[in-house]
Amino acid sequence: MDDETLDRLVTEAKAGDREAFGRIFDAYAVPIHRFIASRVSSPSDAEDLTQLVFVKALEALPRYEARGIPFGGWLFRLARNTIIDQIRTRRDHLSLVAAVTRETEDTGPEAKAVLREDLDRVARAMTELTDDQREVIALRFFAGLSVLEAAVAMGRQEGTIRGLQFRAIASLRRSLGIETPAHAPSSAAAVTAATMQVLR
Amino acid sequence: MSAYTNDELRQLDHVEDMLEAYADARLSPSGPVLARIRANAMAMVAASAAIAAAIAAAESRAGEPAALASRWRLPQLQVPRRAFALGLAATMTLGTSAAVLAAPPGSPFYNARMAIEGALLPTQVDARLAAYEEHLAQRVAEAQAAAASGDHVGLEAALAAYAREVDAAVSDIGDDADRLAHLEAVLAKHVAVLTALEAKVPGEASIDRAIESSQKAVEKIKEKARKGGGGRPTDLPSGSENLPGRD
Repeated sequence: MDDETLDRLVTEAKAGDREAFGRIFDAYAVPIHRFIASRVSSPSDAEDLTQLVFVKALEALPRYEARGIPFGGWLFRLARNTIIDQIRTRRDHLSLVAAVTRETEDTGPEAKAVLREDLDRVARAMTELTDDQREVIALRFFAGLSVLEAAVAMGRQEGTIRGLQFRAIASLRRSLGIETPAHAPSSAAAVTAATMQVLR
Repeated sequence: MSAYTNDELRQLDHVEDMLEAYADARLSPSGPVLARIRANAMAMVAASAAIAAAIAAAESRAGEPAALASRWRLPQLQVPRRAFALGLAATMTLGTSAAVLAAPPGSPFYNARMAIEGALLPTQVDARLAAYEEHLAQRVAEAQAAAASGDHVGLEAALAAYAREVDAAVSDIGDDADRLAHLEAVLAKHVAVLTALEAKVPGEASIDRAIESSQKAVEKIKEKARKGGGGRPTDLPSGSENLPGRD
């Protein structure tokens, strides 16, 4: 969805247009669920919290003003606060190993086993990250936010997000056994720039 | 110009691919889960809008907000109307306000109640059909009660909701011959009850419309059964003796 369409939908939803709110839901529900599912311990919590985020969004929407704050960043900030509230309230713990794994039905048993092993490796690699790094990976790659949106969601500077992402990717490469480049770039900035280029 | 070689870029691609596969397989909601979240969220939106509209209408009728606040016991209402409506909708959806969830036809909360009931229908088809049957029976009972007490507004509201639920049920339960036959039998009973009601309360257009709605639905069911090729509902015994999960 392009920015212009999103702005229009947000304006219409603020005015009480249910269909516009529904289209915003359709655009963001999966990314929000992915982000939440990466941060809570059970699929049912992820479902409940995703619903709660949109209810909170509906309530807070009249107070949302763009002014350089991307809507995605604003919405994910709501999601992040909702998760934090949940953890505080229920003394929940973060878990990155979701209980449910879905493979496509046409996947054969061998391919399924390989896929499951790969997914387990990613889950294990994610546990090696710091909480901030994990959050950046969740926002950037699971939810597909831009650096600016992730920065708004986490209340950090864009440079901080880039740094966290760079270190997280380096850690994931090590943990996943993906070889470190033989001729590493001379500076972290160069690595970050290349990472950003590849990972959008 | 990138400082990375092609090999290095491929490695980064590999990390991205693995993260994407992980998110897709373990973090994305399944279709039914997403549909459920959407239905609940949108029911909340609908309920919130209905409640806000009811409050606005009551305010308008009362002439001043204070009169409504007093009527609805909201004298210290400091939050915007929409936030209040949403909170109330949430409360209703969470089931902590049984009195509101039992809003009678014609009350300001009746449409919100219908929206919530619709959103909370079970996903399993037989359970859904049973819930529809229960809701339709409630609508008919509400219409009878409203007619008995001379509540014209309540009668219209109950039967309008009945017609909407009939349409929803017919389009929702698929093409299975047994289920269609069961729904057809249920609707036939309702037509009989509504016809008897019409005799008691002549001149009520809402009853005519409800009967017509049921009859059209029965036609649709027959058409569905013909197209589906799964048997003719009218050939099956009336009632639901053969339905799974039913006595």
